[in-house]
Parts: sequence; C-alpha cells; structure tokens
Amino acid sequence: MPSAPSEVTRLLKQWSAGDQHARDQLIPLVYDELRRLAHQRLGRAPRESTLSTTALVHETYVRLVEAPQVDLPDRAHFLALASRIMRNLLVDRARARSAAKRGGGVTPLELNESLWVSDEDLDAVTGLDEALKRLEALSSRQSRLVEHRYFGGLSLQESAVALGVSLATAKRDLRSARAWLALELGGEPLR
Amino acid sequence: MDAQRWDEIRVAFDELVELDAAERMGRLTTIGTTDPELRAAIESLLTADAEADERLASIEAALVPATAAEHFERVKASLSDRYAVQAEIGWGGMATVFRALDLKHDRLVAIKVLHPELGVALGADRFLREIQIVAQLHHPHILALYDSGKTDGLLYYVMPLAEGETLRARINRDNQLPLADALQIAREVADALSYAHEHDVIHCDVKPENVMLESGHAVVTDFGISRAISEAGDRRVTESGMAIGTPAYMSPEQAAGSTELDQRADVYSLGCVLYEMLAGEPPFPATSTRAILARKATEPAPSVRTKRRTVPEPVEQALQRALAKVPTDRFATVQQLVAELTAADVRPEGGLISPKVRSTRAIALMGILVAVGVVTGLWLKVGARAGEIDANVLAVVPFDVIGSGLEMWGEGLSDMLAHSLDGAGPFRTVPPSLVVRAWNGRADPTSAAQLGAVLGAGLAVYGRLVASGGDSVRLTATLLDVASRTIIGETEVRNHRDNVDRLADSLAVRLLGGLGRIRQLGAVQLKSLGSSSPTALKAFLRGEQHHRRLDMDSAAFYYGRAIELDSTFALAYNRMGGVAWWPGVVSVRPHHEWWLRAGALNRGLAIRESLLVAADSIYAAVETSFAPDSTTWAMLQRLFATLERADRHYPNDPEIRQRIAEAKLHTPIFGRAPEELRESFAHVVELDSTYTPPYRHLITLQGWLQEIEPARRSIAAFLALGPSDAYTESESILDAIWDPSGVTQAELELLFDTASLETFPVVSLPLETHPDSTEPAIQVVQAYLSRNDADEFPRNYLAKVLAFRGHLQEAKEAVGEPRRYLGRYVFTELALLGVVPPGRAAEVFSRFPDQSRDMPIPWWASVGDTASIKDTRAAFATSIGSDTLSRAEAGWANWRVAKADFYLALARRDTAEALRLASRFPEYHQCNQGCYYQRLTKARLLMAAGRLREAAELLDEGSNNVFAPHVPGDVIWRLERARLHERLGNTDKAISDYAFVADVWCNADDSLQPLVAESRAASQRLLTGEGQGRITGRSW
Repeated sequence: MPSAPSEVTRLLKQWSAGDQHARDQLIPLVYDELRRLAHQRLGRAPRESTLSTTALVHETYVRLVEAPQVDLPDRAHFLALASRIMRNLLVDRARARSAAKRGGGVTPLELNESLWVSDEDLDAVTGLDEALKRLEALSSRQSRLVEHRYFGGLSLQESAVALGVSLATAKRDLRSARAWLALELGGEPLR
Repeated sequence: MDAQRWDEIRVAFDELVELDAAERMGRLTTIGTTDPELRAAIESLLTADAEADERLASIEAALVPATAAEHFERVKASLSDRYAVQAEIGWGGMATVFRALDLKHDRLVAIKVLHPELGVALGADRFLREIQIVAQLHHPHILALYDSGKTDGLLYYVMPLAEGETLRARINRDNQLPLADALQIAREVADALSYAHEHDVIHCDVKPENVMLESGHAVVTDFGISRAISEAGDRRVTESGMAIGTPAYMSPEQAAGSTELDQRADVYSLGCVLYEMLAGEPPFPATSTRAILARKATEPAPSVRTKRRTVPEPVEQALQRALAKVPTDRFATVQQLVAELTAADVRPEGGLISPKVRSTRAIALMGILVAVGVVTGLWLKVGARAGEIDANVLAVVPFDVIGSGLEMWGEGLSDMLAHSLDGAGPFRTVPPSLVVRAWNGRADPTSAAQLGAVLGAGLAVYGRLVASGGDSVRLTATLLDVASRTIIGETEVRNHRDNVDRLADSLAVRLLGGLGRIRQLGAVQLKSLGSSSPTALKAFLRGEQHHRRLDMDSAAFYYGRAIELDSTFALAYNRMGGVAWWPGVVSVRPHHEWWLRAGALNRGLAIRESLLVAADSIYAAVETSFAPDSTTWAMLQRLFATLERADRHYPNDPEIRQRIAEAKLHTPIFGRAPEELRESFAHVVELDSTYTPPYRHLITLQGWLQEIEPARRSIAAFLALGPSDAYTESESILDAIWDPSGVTQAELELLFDTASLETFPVVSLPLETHPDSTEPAIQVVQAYLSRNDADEFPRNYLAKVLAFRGHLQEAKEAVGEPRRYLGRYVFTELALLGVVPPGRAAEVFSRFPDQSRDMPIPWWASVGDTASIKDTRAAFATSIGSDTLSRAEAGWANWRVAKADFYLALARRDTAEALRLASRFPEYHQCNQGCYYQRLTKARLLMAAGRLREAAELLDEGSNNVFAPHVPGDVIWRLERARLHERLGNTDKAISDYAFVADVWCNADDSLQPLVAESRAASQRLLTGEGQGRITGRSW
C-alpha cells in the first residue's frame, strides 16, 4: 500500500528544511513504492523487461507527493533521493542475479519480484556502480550528478538544484564526468 | 590519481573543451612542457568527450531515456487505426511529438502525446473537453487542432505538420533578431492571441518554443493546452511544477497560482518573447524556477536598451508596460501592445523577414565517423547558368502561403503553373524541383529576380495564397521581367479553399494573357498534369513535395493514392517508377512496370514531362526485353534520341542530364570509358550540387579511377545535403576507409558489425581497384560474408573480388560449386586462367543450366573440346525454331549460335574465318558475361593480323563489362591494351594501363607475378625513357 501522500510531502518539507531524520523516514517509503510500481508494471506487461528506471522514478514522485507549494527544490531533492534508491535496487538486483548464476547464494524473494531490467543491463549497472564509487573518491558531486541523471532521469536543472550548484556548473561537471566515465567503462581509465 | 589531481585535470579540461582546435593545440603544448602527464590525461579526456555519446550509448540507452523506442512502438500501435506513425520528431516537458500520416485525410500531421506520467494525473474527459474549445479556433497565425483523444491510456492531440523551425531555434541561432523581424513576429503572434482572446481562449504558455516560423511567418502552436492541463489536472499536477507555464515567460499572477488569469497574462508572456527576440535572453534569465519567480515578483523588468542600444525608445516603453508586475498596469489587450509598437513608427527596411534559412538536416553520421561538411560550404551551387538569361524561360517560384491547412499549395501551385505554362508559344518553364532546390527566398521581386538570374530564367512568377475570411482564399500572382526587375503584370483570383486547383487554372489563363502581350503565343492549349480528379491531383502534388525531399516512403504513399484515385494518371505512374527504382524503397511492383504503364498513358502532358515519361518507358522496355538484336538496337536509339531531344529543349537541366548519364552507364552499348562516364555524372553535380541522385555513381566511378580526393569531396558534398538515403551509410563508411588518417582495424570492424547488409556491395564496388595493398574491398566483402554466410551471393561476390585482385586460388575455394549466375561467371574466368583442373572444370560446366550454357564455350575452345561446343550450338539452333520463344529469347539464341561458330573457327585455328565471323557480331556488345572476352579475342586476332589501330580502337572502348565489373579478364584487357599502346608509341596510355595491372595485382598469386613484374618494369622503362623518344617494336 502506498503511503499517504500528505505524509511523504510533510517529510519532504521537513527534510528540505534540514531535518535529516525526515530523510531517513522517507527512504523506506520511496523504496517500497519504487518496487511496488516496478512489480505492477511487470504484472501488466511482462514483455516490458527494459522498463525505464527513469519513468519509474518519476511516477513514484507523482504518486507519493501531494502537497501544496511543492516547488522545484523539493521535487529535485525527492528525485535525487529516489535515484539513489533506484541505484541501490538495481545493484542489489545485479548482485543477486550473479550470485544465483554461480549457483551460490540465495536470491532474496522481493528482488525476484522486481526484475525490470535485463541481464545485460544489470551487468552494465554493476560496472557503472563500481565506476561511480571510484568517481565518488575523486569528486562526490560529480558522482552524484551522474547518479541523478542515470538512475533518476533528473534534468540538469533539477540536478543542479539538488546539488546546490548553478546550472552552468552542473553542465560542466556532467561533461567531464561523462568523458571520465567513457574512459573508465571503456577499459582505459585515467591514471 | 587523487581528488586534487582530478581537480587539476578537470579545470584544464573545462577550459580546453571550449576552445577551437588550434587554440587547444597551443594550450596543450604549453601544458605539456611543464606537465606532460597532465597533457596526456587532458587529451584522453578530450577524445573521450568527443566520443562520449557513442561510448556511453549502451549504458545510457539502458538507463536514461524513457526508452523512446518502446514509447514509439506503443504510440504507433495504439493509434494505428487512424494514423501511420512514422517517427518521433520532438520532445518537450509535457509531450512527445510524432510525425504521422493521417490515413483518413491523406495528410501528414504532428501528433503530440502527453507523457504517460502526466496523463496519469489528468482527468482525460476534462482535458479533451477543454481542448475541444481550442479546436474552434481558425486563424492564419494559429496552428489548427485537427483531433484529440485518448487511447491505450495515452492522451494525444493532432495538428498540421508544421514545416520550418521554431522561434526558439531561430533565437538560438541568431541570438538577437533584426528589429523588423522581431516586430513582425510579435505582431503576428499578437494577431493570433487577439483572435483567441475574442473567443475567450487564453494561451497561458506563450514562449519561443510555441511559435513556429513558416516561410517567415509566425504560427502559434499549443493554444490552450497548458490551460486544459491545468483545468483537468488534479492538485498534484498543478502544484508539482510539472506542466503549466514556463517560469521565464510566466506572468507574476500566473506564477502565484492565480486561477483568474485573463488576456493580460498573455500580454506579459508576449512581452517576454519580444524582449528575448531583441535582447537575446528573456528579461529574467535565471537558473532556477524559484529564482526567476522571486525576481519577477520583486524586480522591475530590466531595460532592453541596456542589452541592445539600438532598440528605439518607444519599443522600450511598450515593453516596460507589457512587463508590468500588476495586470492593471499593463496593456489591457495585445492589440494595444501592437498599436503601440506600430505607433513607434519603426520602419523596418522593406518590412520583410530575412530569408528563411534552409534547415540543413543534421547529418546523422554513424558512430565514429567524422563530420565531413567542411568543404561543402564552398561547393554548393544550383544552376550553372548564372549570367546567361534566356528570355523565353519562366521560373514559377513557390507561393507564399498564409493560413493553416494550405501549406501544401506553396509548392503545389508552382507545380501546377509550371506545368500549365510549359510549352506555351516559345515559353519553357524551369522544372519545379529545380526551382525548389534553388529557392530560399520569399515571394517578393528581389528574391524572384535573383532566382531567375541563378536559373537563367528571363521571367519569374511569384505570389501568395492567403486565407481570407470564412472558407475563401485569395491568390495573387505577379509576372516579373528578371533582367530589368520590372513587373509585367499582376493578377488576383479568389475561390473556396477546397478549389485551389481550379484557382491555379484560372491563374494560368490570366498569366498566359500577360505572356501573350510580350510574345506571340498563337493557339495555346493549357496543359494539365494529366488528371481530372482534384483529389488525385492533390495526392500527386503532395507526393511531388516528398519526392523532392527524398522522403521516398511518403512520396510512394501519395503517388499510390493518386493512382488509386485516378488509374489513368500517367505522371503518378511515372513518379512511382522513379521512387521504386530508389534503393531501399519497397514497392509493390518493380519500377519498370510503373514506367511502362506511364508510357502507355502518355498523352496531353507538357513537353518536358512528356519526353521524360517516354524516355523512362523506353528504358523500362529495354530493361525487360534486352537482347543482342536489332530491335533492342532500335529501342536504344530511340531512348537516346528522346533524351537528346529533351536536352536540346531544356539545356543544362540536371534531371535530364542525369537520365542521360544513367542511360550511358547502364546500357553499355554506348559504353564509354569510365573517365567519360565520370565526366557525365560530375557534370550533373556541377549543374546542381544539391541534387543527390548523381553522387553515388560519381563516387563509384571516381573510386574506380583511383581519384580518391575528388571522391571524398563528392562524399562530403553528398552527406552535407543530409540525404535520407540508403547510400548515406555506405558513403560514410567509404569515406572512413579512404580517410588518409585512417580508421583503426577495430573501428572498421565495429562499422562492419553494425552496417546494414545492403551496404556491403555498395561499399566494396568503388574500392575494388583501390591501389592500396591492404585491399580494402576484400575486407569489406569478407565482413559481408561473415554477416551473411547463409546466402550464396556474398560467397560468389567474395570470389569475384578475390579473383579480380589475382587471388585465384582463394577465389576458387570461395566459389566452390557455383549455383548462381555470378558464381558460374567467376568459375568460368578461373577455368580460363587455368586455375581449375580441366577434369573438374569439364564436370562442373556439364552441370550449368540452360541460362549459362554458353558460358564455357571459350574454355571448350581453349581445350579443343569442339564436341561440347557443337552440342550447345545445336541446342540453341533448335530452340530458335520454337514459336514459344519470345523476341528477346530468340535474339539471345541467335547470338549464342554466332558465338559458338566464332569459337569453333578458333578451335580449328582458322583465324581468318574467326575474324570474319567476329565482325558479324552486332556492333554493340551488351555482355551478359564473357562477351568482353570475345572482344578481347577479336582484338588479339586483329593484333596478330597487324591491324593494330583497329585493335586499339576496340580495346579503348573499355571492356564494358557492366554486369559484373572487375573480374580478372578486365586486368588482362588492360595489360593487353598497355602492350598495344606501347607498340603504338602512346606512352601515357601505356603507362596508365601498366600501372593499373601492377596496382591491382600487387598481392596476386605467384602464377600472375610474371605479368606484374612485366608491368612494373614496363612502366618504369616508359617513365624514365620518356624524354628520350618512344620505345617501339618491343617484342611481346
């Protein structure tokens, strides 16, 4: 069952106002809703195996947030949070899948229910996740920016707001981050 | 690397990535002297940046876009009963836009589909009801709403497909618009808004993205959509900031969430748009929504004159008032704003919008290929006749159209008029396709006179079609004398908007009246396009417009509709044939059937079209019933006579010249040396470099002639035209292979892995003679085979290329037991070169089917097997008597009997008789196969008889081996010719032929190496001996 939108909105506003506790309370709500939506989508159209993660994140937003005066910063923060969760979900999924493939490990049930990404894409996700961890060590802002774009489909402007930087900075950050990532994922990382 | 180092790298990268190549190099050099590692890191990063889209494509496709392809499929399927959705053409914050064909009305439309996540939050019924109010709006500057609905959970609405660009694109390109343009656009937008306001519709989202510029005129789109969404959306939508207005253009009261918006909100937004057109940025540019809204609420609008000093004071004042914070301080209506702007008495020069810039479609180059458009800016030109004006040539300029739903008539009218007037008295008209390619102006005397000068037309007709109240339209036209720029006459006609075709006829009659005053016309019969059905005619005209833009699928659709509606429509059949001939187009019938049908219906057309319809149908007849007989000969003479007649009537017409070049290439009876063919196609390009058909053959021929640099220039010019053409891919790959800086092996393999299968033969053909010892053609065909090894054709093709390059043993392996025509052909060549053991050859030949039964005759002659030749001859001779034989089949049988007789004489070593028989072969040698070999044999006999000049004449015509060019025999031909020219003292020719042999066989089998050594030595000798007189009489 999705949580009452008003509650999510309240938490979101509190978090925007600087209340980290509110964020912690938000996470499971978003997590559940993301998984529920993915599952529901699959139930309706089993062939849609590459269902867009971006669309899921946005739909989660529309479903969870009902508030007067939710403006861009709140929206951006919500989406940023959802993109982190989406990343975790996908990476967990990929790990579980490869563990299952090796014959070891037990696939957690709830992950089995939410397979909305193909095997190849999951492999790519694992590689991306590792690259992002390395980028985190170099520039956590850039790492989060890529996370927003790739897992949450945030627009550049939303990302900029979520990260508290100007649009121009976000643009520049994204450009060098993508170039860096292209090298990293292409097996010729910068030394 | 640590974070600090990354910071250093990043900062430098951020700086360098903005610089141009030369500045970059300078900076890199500076950095490299102090920190070479930093330089290396930046360089890798810059390379990665240039290729980031491609390198990250797979991961980004998996994660980032809302799987556009899936969305497309979903939309396509759910609308399929009413619309054929063709492509996604745009994407915005609220909706995705698709181009589609409206099946019921035969027209192309734009369908906007709201994003599903937005649709979820909307009350569909309410939305559709709201949007229906908008459907009542009809105004020349409002993009009409055709339809709206909900299907499979998707909310959509349908509009005319607007040609042209958005005001956003124009501002992005030009930054600040000329004052006159900005004011005209603002006035037109205001007209539209004012009309809507009278109907109680507020736009609520006026912004540059929602203004289309069509032929320089503004058309406002998405009327009331934002309003409909806000009315139909629940609170989530209204308050999520997801839709509803755009902060930079939104009035303060709208931003504050007022539900009581009136037209003054649109006044404010229009003020923002005008401000941006003048200043290059909106009055409150800011990075975040909140910041914009905060500034709007608190700061006064900045003065536009601080950003652009030349803006007149009254305009500044009008803007200040439009941008007032409180609605009551603004103009009460948009009309008041317009009145103020007009009162400012700004007199724009000529009052005209600057010429529409042709949208050069983005060149979609695959993956790693480098953009090649650099040279083309200098290269494009249309019409080679500047300065030579023919007083009897008339150009009908596309009409300026104001009013939605009438767009097709802009070109449609010029099509009809050009056709009606062509051939009236001494007058000829410039073909509309040529006019359209050359045209980028407006319907005014200056543009028309310039166009006339470019096209060599002494007269020009231009005009406009305007929606004028109710359902009526007004058509005005002006006849202009190009040289003196004087107006000869003007006329105006009116009718119902459904009768534009009849308007065109009455206009043509009046124009003839005008023409009759300046020249003796005599009795003139007005030519029509050949259909009395207005609906068929409209479909045909739409087909023409797509055809000109090489949008062949849409063109085929409309021509098909025209034929359905009028089964006697000769021109529609003819065009359909042209479309079916186009590579990659799937047609229900082969092109020649359409052409033949058009030929049978060819009556009453104007001269040019009538000649072309005739030429195409003769060409089709030649294709379908070719035989080496006198009937074919006569048909070919008629084909060339018809084309030459057309060429005389319409000199320097690129389309006619293209047909002539094609006919020369494909009917090698008139076969010419590749140099001459290349010249023909190059001439077409010279006449009109924006016309795409000649390029492919030109590039192939340049490749054969090893003119790599010119070929690459041709490719660049071709690709810069942005053709939506089956050859785009192949020409891009060719360019990559020819690029002297080269692509890496890995990159090449990637290209081959992703290329479409039809590409391979097109890529390999021009490369076959490539002198490079890497023999790229072989790589291409090997890649082809690896992608498609189930099919016999790639294997045979590989065998052909290998054999041509002298890899005879490998070719033999590749061809195996030949089951297809090409394979049998190559096998025969290999047998003649002694590569196949005689026993094996005899056995395989015995299994050749009837169609190829004459192929082994030269081989049988060479091994003295006269019995087999006689058997074959007897079989053909018997068949001649059969009355079931078609004319063409009989022609072939006769020819094969003659061939058998020729080789029987040779086998008897009766060379005098052989030579006598050879001269009885038809003079033209369309060779299905091996017939070049007969001519080579004849040349050798002539040489042996000491008739060197006759032999040289014969060999100089080229092997004309068009069905399967580039087999080993072609190389032997060149070697024989080299030796002959050396004897005759034609040193240059000899050197060129020897070099060809040495290049093509550079890696050939050992058995051919003595010939290669001979060629190298000979060209060396001739080159060094050049200054010391000619070497003659060498024994050979």
